[in-house]
Amino acid sequence: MTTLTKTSRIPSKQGMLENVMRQFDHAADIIDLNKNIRKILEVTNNEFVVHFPVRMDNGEVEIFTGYRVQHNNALGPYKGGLRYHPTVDIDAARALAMWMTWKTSLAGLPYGGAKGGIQLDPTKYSQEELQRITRRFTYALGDNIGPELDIPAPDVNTNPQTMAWILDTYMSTKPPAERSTNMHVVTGKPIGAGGSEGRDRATGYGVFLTIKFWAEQKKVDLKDKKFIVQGFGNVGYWAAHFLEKEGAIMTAVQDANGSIACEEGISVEKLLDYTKANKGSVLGFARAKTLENSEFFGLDCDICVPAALGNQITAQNANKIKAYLIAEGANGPTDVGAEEILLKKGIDIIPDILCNSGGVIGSYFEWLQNKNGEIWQLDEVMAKLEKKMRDSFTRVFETAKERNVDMRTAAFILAIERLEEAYVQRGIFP
Amino acid sequence: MGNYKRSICSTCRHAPYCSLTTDMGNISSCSDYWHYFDDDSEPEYMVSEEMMGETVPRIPNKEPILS
Repeated sequence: MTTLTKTSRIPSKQGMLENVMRQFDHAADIIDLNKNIRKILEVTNNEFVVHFPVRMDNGEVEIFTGYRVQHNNALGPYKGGLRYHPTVDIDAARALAMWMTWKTSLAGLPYGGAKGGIQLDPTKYSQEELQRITRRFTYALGDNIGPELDIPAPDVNTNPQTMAWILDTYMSTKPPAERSTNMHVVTGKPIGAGGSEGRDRATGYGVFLTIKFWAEQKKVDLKDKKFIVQGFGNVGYWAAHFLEKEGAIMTAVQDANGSIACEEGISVEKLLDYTKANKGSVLGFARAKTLENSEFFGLDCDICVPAALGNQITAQNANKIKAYLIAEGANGPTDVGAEEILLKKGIDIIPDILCNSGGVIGSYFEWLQNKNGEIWQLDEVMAKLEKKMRDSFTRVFETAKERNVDMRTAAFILAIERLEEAYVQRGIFP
Repeated sequence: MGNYKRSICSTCRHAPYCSLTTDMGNISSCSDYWHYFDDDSEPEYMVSEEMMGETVPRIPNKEPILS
């Protein structure tokens, strides 16, 4: 039960899709993108909707709906996450798939963009049921995913275990002699099942690296610089960890539970230990005072790292910001109105599409290792990540200077130009 | 929480008191997302710490390696 559709123009423009399209249109206008290539990039290549039956623990059969949207593959296999959530639908998958195309293009990876998932609430199913749902979804997608075609990864409510099930199911559908050549059908696998060292910290390390490269360009010494972090999850923690190692001082943190600040500095490792023992909350950490949430972005600091969620810096709080650098660890933390204000104030923004691209680069390294039968040590992964991120950052920074645009626009220009070049050189079949 | 039909906040345990945002209508990713579980249906992890190979911040049910 598979539905394959081809879209004319992405019809729904809600939320993230609207943002992604606006940024695309803005950059496309600046570079006067070939109108035919613009038409291609405005639509998704393939959209799969699969309905599949799974037997539940009680013996009943339930029908699930899964999605996979493949936006573009001009630069290589489609790449993007699979999420399990009640809000998964075709519109959400479209926006996120398109976003992945720009991100992989800017990062200089041989990938396109995709996204998908299953519309379900995972809390309602046992682990055994989730395993059967995952395996049946993989079977339903069949050869519409593959190590050289479309490579899923973990996303909301999916994890390395989910990827291991997909890998095992996909491999099982292949002849015995081909099975081990398909390890790279998914990334984000457990280390023991072909995962990569360093994948856990890749996004946060990438955030740190872009800050470091920015500081090098601006001749700023990060030692003793004050930074604040919104979101102390995987990205926020690792970015803070590496900034602290560089000598910078974390003076405030905000998470879902509240905000804390300490002028003398908050130890990143001690805070991590504290949150582990405190149901994940930063509130109540020793020597730190609790802040009103509305005060957070107005705190006196040098660097602000929004690493939680979108639309956090808005026209309402942008004027209060004292940091001279914003490093977007989250997707879309700065809204349009805020960006205008910040740029006028001379505040630099390292855009999300560049700043948090370490994660997909880490995935690429896992894919490469599997493809080539290699296992890289952690220091090797980190060194390669630094090289790749430096290249991306430098290209964005130089393009921003040359074209007299902000770094976000420069990033989109570069991402779209790379795709345009591929189409111009290859032509359109037939 | 059930009102945010297009947002992952609809199933986030933090939503009733979240200090990160009050605009929960269209959130597609969040570092602090914590899927709501009934206490008696919380799934067990099947991937061991050794298999993960890392000592990363482990907050229940947060995706361990992907941002």
